[in-house]
Parts: sequence; C-alpha cells; structure tokens
Amino acid sequence: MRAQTEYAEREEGAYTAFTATRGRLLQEKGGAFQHRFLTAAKRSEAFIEFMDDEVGTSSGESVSIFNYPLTEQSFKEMTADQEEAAFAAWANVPPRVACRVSFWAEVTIQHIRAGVIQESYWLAANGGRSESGNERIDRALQVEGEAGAKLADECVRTVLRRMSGLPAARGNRSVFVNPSFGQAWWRERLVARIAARDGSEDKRAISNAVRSSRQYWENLVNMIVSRGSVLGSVNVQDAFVNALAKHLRVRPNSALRSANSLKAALRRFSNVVASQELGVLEFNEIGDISEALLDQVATTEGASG
Amino acid sequence: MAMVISISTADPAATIRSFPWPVLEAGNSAFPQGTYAIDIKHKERGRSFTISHRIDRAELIQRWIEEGKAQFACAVAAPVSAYRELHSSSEPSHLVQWSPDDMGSPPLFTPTVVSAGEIQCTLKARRDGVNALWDGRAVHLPKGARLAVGPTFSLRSGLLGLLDFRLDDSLASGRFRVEASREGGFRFNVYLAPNLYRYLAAHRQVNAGWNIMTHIVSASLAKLQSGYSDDDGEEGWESYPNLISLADELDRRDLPHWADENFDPELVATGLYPHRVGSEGD
Repeated sequence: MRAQTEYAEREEGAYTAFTATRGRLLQEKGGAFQHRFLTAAKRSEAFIEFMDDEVGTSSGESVSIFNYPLTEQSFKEMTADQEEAAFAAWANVPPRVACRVSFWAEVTIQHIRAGVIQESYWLAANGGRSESGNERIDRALQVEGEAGAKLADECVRTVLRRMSGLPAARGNRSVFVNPSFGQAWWRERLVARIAARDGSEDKRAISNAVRSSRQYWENLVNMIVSRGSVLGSVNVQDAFVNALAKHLRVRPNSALRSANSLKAALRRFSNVVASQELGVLEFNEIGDISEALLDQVATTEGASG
Repeated sequence: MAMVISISTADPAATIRSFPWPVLEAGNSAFPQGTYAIDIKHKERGRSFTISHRIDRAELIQRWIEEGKAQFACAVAAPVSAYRELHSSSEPSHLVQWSPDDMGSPPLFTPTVVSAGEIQCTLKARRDGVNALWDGRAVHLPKGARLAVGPTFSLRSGLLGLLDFRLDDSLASGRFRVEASREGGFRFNVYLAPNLYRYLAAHRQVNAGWNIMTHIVSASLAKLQSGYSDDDGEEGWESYPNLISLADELDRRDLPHWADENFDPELVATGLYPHRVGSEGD
C-alpha cells in the first residue's frame, strides 16, 4: 500500500470518545454535563482540559497553525481573504480527512491552544446575532427551568458546530457549512479549482458568487454532498458554479442573487441531470446548458418576484 | 470469478421514472426483454477495477453501441467528501480508478451507457426491442442521454454490510448460524431464531444487541479464516472485491485479516466492535 499522511484528529468512530462525548452532550438538555461543558468553554484553558480529558487525540501529523489574526467576529464569519489563507495553509490535507468532524475539532482546539482563537467562548457566538459567545454562555447558564435548558442545549450545539460540525443534526453537509475552518477549506477549494480551469471566470467573481450568503452556500453544498447529488461530477459542479458566477457578474441585479431563486435553478437543473449524464460533456458544453437554464430561471423568478 | 451485477426490467427494487426516450433500467418497461450486466475485475486493491458492460435483448442500444453512437461509463462517488468522477469509454471493458485520498467513505459506483452525441431516430418495436408503446415514436436524444442505468453499488468494506439476516423458524430460541455465500459477490447469510431475529431488528444499538452482533461478526470472521485464507488468484477471496475492501479496512485499522498467521477472529471482532458493558447490573 502507498503511504498516506495521517493527520491528528480527535478520536472518532463508533463508540470512541468523541462520538460518546458528543452523544452525552446532546443527551440531556440543560443537564449537568452540558453545564460543565459550557462552563469550561468560558475559559480556553479549561476548555482544552475538558476536551483532553474527555476525548483523546489520535496520533498523526498536526496541521500548521493559521497565522492570520482572528477576532471573534472574523472567526464567526471569515472573510474571503481569510478563507483563502486558510485553504492555502492546509491545501495538502486530503478530502478524506477534511470531511471528518474529528479533524476540524482537533484543528480548532489547536488554534485555541495556540491563542489564535483567543477565547474558547468564541465558539458559542451564534450566526448573525450581536451577542458575544461569552454573553450567550452566561445567559444559558443563568436562566433556569425549561427556557434555560433550551438555551444551554442551543449553546452546546453551536459550540460543537463551530468547532467541528454536528452531523447528528446536519448530516454530511455539516463539515462544509458549520465549522469555521471547515467551511473555509471546502469553499475556497471549490473556488480555487474552478478558477484554475481554462476559460473560467475571474477568481473574484467565483468567490463572490459562492459567498453571496450563508444560505446560498448551503444550497450549493446540499446539491453537491447529498447521495443523489444534482451537481454530481466534479466537472458538472465546476461548470455550473462558473456559469452562476458569470451570470451574477453580467446581471448583478439578477433574481438569482436570492438563495431561494438559486434553489429553484438547482431544482430545474436536477430535471436535466435525471435523464442526461452531463459528466461526459466538456466543461464549456455543461457551461452552455447551465447558462441557458440560469437565464430562464432568472427571468421566471424575476417576473414572479 | 468476479463480482457480477445484473439488472432486468422486472427488478422490483426499482424507482419508476419517465424519460423522453426508452431507457434500460430496473422497473422501466421500455425494453421488456432487456438486461444490463456488469462484471468487475479487481485491478489495484482499493484504487481501481476493470468494469465490463454487457447489454442483451435491447437491440436499439446494442445497435447504437456497434455504430459508435453510445459509450460506456461508470461514476465513482463519495458524497461525504463531495467527490464524483465519471469514467467513460467507447469500449465495453474499461478501467475505473480513484484515489483513496478523495474518499471520505467507501466509494459508490454507478454504471451507465450513454449517448456519445445527439441522436435522432424513429423507433420500431420489433427491430429495436422496445415496448410497443414506443413503436413509431420519433425521439431526439442529447449528448450524454442515459440509455441504460445500472444499480449503484459499493465495494463494501464494513463487515456488517456483508451480513444478510434471515429468519430461520427451525432454530431454537436464542440460536443462530452463519454461512458464507458466493452468490452476487461475497456475503454472509446469518440465520437467526425468531426471537433473535426480532430482537436484532430493533435493538442492535443497545448493549445486548450490540454484543450479539459482535458474536455474529466473530463467527463470520471464523468462516473466512477456515474457508478463505488461501487464494489461488482465481477462485479465492481476492476474487471478491468486497472481501478485498474488508481486508483493506482491517489493514487501515491495524488489524490482521483472515489470511494472516496471527488472525484471531474473536480478537478482531472485538477490535472492530468492542463488547459494550453498561453500569453494574445493566
């Protein structure tokens, strides 16, 4: 067998520590274990200690530490430049590793250990809300009764999502959309791959398209990662997203700016894919089909919107 | 021997879809007598195989193949790592390969026959082997149109995926037995007493159910050790892609496999699926 580089990751697999710890954390909303976890998450040192005690790390090579300054806000929503830097730093990590929650858990914890993520409570900051992770944990620990239990549970889930992804709740797509570093890696990998193709759009246009909004990216990921994926073959993924970037560049006010319209386009695209194996077509041929379809959907959606 | 997968239109495990042209696939009556078989021969363990496609009694597709209007393809997919690549060829036997580094899960394979370019044609039921419903219909196929679609299959690497559970009324309460089967690739038929069958259907994840599964895995591995530790290169275990995948999986997990001298079925079984014990009295 050829040698493969093994990367350090939090222990994963059936009934190993990370799975078991995650299971325990999700078992009782607002229970003592959730409170212990959240209390630890308030201080980096305590959080690392908690994770080291509860979950071991497999032997393997550690990735380099991200040398880009992060803030709580930028860790929550990384900029395109930061995502590009993250992917550049870890470009050698193979997809078989980058799709694992245990890998991103280890990467995140290493960054807390190194102080690049200055406070572990950053992991608890949620979506577009202005509340800091620390405030959110405090509220979850202070509120009593059913409401408090719900808050604690939500907070625990946010930490797990941000740190590693949470496949129990989001399935395979979790590592592509939840952990900050994981999302950065997968998104920038797609952008870089398309930009490297002959005749593709400018990298910035592709980057802008896939980063239109969080939901936009999630819609694309759903179509790539699901078992009966619409954007199946790699060249189909690339040609469709490239056509989308071109469409949005040429028609900046297109109805396809909206995530719902993109969803409608992907539904239409799935009808084509059901009867036609686009994987045998050339990149530009798939691009032509995609562009025509996107124009049609934009017109329909624009008229209905 | 190689793994052979065959579909006919009578396959009950099919999803019925409608296409604007006749397609040979399970559950689709467009080619009433048509069959589509594939044959897999392992090339490089865990990285490639040679696939051979064979279409019978679907004269339209066979003619297009002869005329070079159709090509053969096999998609390799690992959705968890966003991977899907199509390998196509004008020849019915061709290489399918992949890199383990791209695979977040064991790859899934879907064989197909597709049009090599646009095709326009008026169908004749007797000449083309299509259902009478298509007789006289003019069809226009785009490049890449699916003509025959095989089942999606995997080279299963997990041992649990090789187990077929069967109810055996003749077995007394709490008993089971395992038989190795060479039908349709390598499988283990696990015959279970009714009470065990019902229990495992619902309780494989609780401690007792899990531990019974470990016992079954151990028994299955023992069958491999006793009957399949030699390989003559023709009929031995290496002629079964799913056993090769299982051997690779054990290798990845630093466990010996059945042809190794230090192979203990129970030790490997409990390495893969350690017995679970709860708190005292559980």
